[in-house]
Amino acid sequence: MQKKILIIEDDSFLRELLAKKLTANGFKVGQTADGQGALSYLKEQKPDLIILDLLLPKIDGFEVLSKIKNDPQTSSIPILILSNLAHKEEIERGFKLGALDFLIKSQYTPEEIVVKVKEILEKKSE
Amino acid sequence: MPMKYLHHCLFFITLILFLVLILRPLISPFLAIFSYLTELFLCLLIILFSLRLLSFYKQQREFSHLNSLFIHRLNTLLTEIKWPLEMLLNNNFGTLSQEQKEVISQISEKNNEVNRLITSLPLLSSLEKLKISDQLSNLKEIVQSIIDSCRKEINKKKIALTFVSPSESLPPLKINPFWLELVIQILIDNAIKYTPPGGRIDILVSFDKNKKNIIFEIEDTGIGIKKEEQKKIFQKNFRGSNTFNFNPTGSGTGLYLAKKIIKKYRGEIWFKSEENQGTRFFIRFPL
Repeated sequence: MQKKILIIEDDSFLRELLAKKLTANGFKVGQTADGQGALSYLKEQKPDLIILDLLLPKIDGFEVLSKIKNDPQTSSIPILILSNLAHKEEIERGFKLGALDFLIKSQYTPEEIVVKVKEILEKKSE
Repeated sequence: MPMKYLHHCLFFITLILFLVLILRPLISPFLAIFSYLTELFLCLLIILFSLRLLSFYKQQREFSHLNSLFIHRLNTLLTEIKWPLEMLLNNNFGTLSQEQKEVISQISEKNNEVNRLITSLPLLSSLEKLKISDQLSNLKEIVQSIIDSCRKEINKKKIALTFVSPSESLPPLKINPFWLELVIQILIDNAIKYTPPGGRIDILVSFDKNKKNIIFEIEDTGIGIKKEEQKKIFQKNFRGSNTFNFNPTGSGTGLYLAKKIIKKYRGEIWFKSEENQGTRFFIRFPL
């Protein structure tokens, strides 16, 4: 079955690049530009994985993360943080709130992100 | 700059007035008339000086905040260049000709280099504020953990790596673990990068009880450093002329940074090298 991935990212250029890459790799992709959009998307659909940016308009990434993790409906969805905020405190905070992994955007290519996504989904289905 | 100047002036005037105040009992006959005025003036100056100092620190804070915003924006822009280039190369936007691919992969390499330089920027500026002995590090543990993290690369190149250290536990080093890890990482990375497949890397940690030193050594069977270039090896942005085939995108900051850190902690770093035979780096850490 086709796996579904939700990308929460306010930079539309990067978001669409990543969406194109994931679609080309056989994933079904949902996109949203802010936290509010993400939460209303999650009320309708349940993706297999969420890719989350941290600096977002309105509700920031950390808040979105804790909301998703505190809601029993969505708490089991693995979340991959993809951000250019890379201070130790932010990374620790991300993991503490329940993120599965923390990728620094400028250090990863879309190809490597796809590899990471596949790894996580394979582990999950085991 | 004028800000700093004013600062110094105010500081010295305050200092002189303080001295006058302290020495006044000795020279009071001469100063009795001015005493009241002096004190008033002094109080005013102290207030002014503190205000100046406060606004200076506020500015500093604002600057570092702006600085991190700036770096974040820069990183985002770099990502926006990196991602589409990589996708172009992977034919995600249609098939490219060999020539187009070559040009794009060159741009992509350059972009990665800019990326690495940007990453080392905050590191370099915080290096200036290094303090001695703010934290302790365990050299043996750090070396082992870095070897473990490089295992994939080592196996891929079929490099035989040994790590020998005294069986007893060593006294901790008075270095912030973050900086020590960085130095060791730079040396191990270099050894792996510049050793051809099938080579050897030997790492040795030893403890000289008499001289109160801990010595770290790393020897490889790599490409070595040319005699005529050995003097320049710790210079900023210098890269050995024989390194380009092995690692085309290095920035020449590693050893420069390593030496700077080691010197800050009053250690020493040196090496012996023979071109096409190998290199042996030594670091002496004082206790």
